Amino acid sequence: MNGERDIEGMRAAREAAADWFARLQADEANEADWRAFHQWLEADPLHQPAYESVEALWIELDEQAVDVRARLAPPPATPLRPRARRSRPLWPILATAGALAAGIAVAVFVVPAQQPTGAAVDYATAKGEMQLVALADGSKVRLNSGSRIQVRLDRDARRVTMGDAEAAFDVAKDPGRPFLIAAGDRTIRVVGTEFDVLNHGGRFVVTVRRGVVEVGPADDGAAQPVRLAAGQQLSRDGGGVSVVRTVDPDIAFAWRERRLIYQGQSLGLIVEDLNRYFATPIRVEGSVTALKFSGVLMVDGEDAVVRRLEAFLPVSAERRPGEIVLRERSTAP
Amino acid sequence: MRAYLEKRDELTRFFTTRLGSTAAAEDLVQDIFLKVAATSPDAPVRNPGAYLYRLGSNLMLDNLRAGRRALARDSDWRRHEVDVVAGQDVARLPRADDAAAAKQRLEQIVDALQALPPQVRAAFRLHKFEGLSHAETAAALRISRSAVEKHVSAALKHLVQSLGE
Repeated sequence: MNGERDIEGMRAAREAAADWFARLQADEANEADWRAFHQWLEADPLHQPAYESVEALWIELDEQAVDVRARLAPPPATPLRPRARRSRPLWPILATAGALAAGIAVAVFVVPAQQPTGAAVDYATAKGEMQLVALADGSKVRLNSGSRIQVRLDRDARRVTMGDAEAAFDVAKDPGRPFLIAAGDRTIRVVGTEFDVLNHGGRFVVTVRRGVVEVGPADDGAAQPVRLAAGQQLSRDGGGVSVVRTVDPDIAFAWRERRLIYQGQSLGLIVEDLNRYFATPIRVEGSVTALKFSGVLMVDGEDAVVRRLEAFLPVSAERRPGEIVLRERSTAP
Repeated sequence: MRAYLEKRDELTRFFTTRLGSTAAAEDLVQDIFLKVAATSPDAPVRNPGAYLYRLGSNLMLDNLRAGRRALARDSDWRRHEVDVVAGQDVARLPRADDAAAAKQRLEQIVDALQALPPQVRAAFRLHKFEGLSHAETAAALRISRSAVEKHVSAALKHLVQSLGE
């Protein structure tokens, strides 16, 4: 029967499509493979839809990756976290070290390869400064303005402790040596991926651009971590409630090009962000704190940014010694 | 310059087949070259020709994802499901248009993956869900790269036949 032959034909086309998809993802796939694939696509009208169904499946698996991954291999409870409570007591000491280091831009740091157990190294940026740190394992950390982190490359794990900081991580894959990031009472565990972490003023936000990231409590061995897939963001406010949602990760990464992108965030939150960049603190007075802003803010000079806020929102700025105050623009003549 | 133009024509022909539209293909090829221009030159590319094809195919997948996400976003804000994960309150905004249907779909996917032979499942899990390349998956499982390619392909065949509509 015709229908049966169609079904059989589609089945065969999908099998060939799966072969092509796997072949083209192989590290050694070359141009000739792609040209042959092009010929195959055009050889039969069933081939293109068959390949599209493989692609659709691939994307659907991404969307379900967090749950599927959790179900496929339940994670062992122990090795996910660095030894508990290490991060917090360290910070009073680091704060001083960070302040000292703030004026010094350390561009690149390389641990000699023969020395697998590295000492802890601090990195800090002053307000208005950004820094790219290339670690010896091939990972890269881009530090945003006014940030402090500590890095230790051990034999069994790579450990980063974040203070008041925002950093974008591009982690080199090393399945035998997890990359662990402690931020306050949270720990983030990574295999090899790219993501952004903000830990500042009670806000904790993790945005994943590539790969899978686990976020869990630092010191509670019983609790299971939350897994985030590419395009997902976990944010946690001061109240301790975490929300996971699907986002465009490029927005969270935009600060690397000195742009801040907002979609209906409050002026209060925006000013909190800006105060990480500028020496003179900005303060918001009165009801304008709740004003919502959508758009792109270039972070160049403080005066320029404040002028832009005045242009976009019904606020006016008063420049006082030691601070800039934003309040409702008076409508009186 | 001539090499660049030839490459451009070849890519445009390929993506015209993929997208069914020359205009869409030209836009995509433009995006590919923009992306190449924006990429830092410090990472050497082993196979530049194949790299452009792969970049374009990944951009197509990104566009597909973005389309699905935009569809899901409308429903995200209508429903706000809270469940407890990791002993903390996690409000998880469902991505699919229907949380119950999504749950059912998840069961289907997990069942289909569990039905795979262990070695095939292990390779597919590392590649797809841990983000390892074929070469890295091969190293992790101590098998050859061609075995990884076969396992990934076998997993995809099984999944697309049992989950595809």
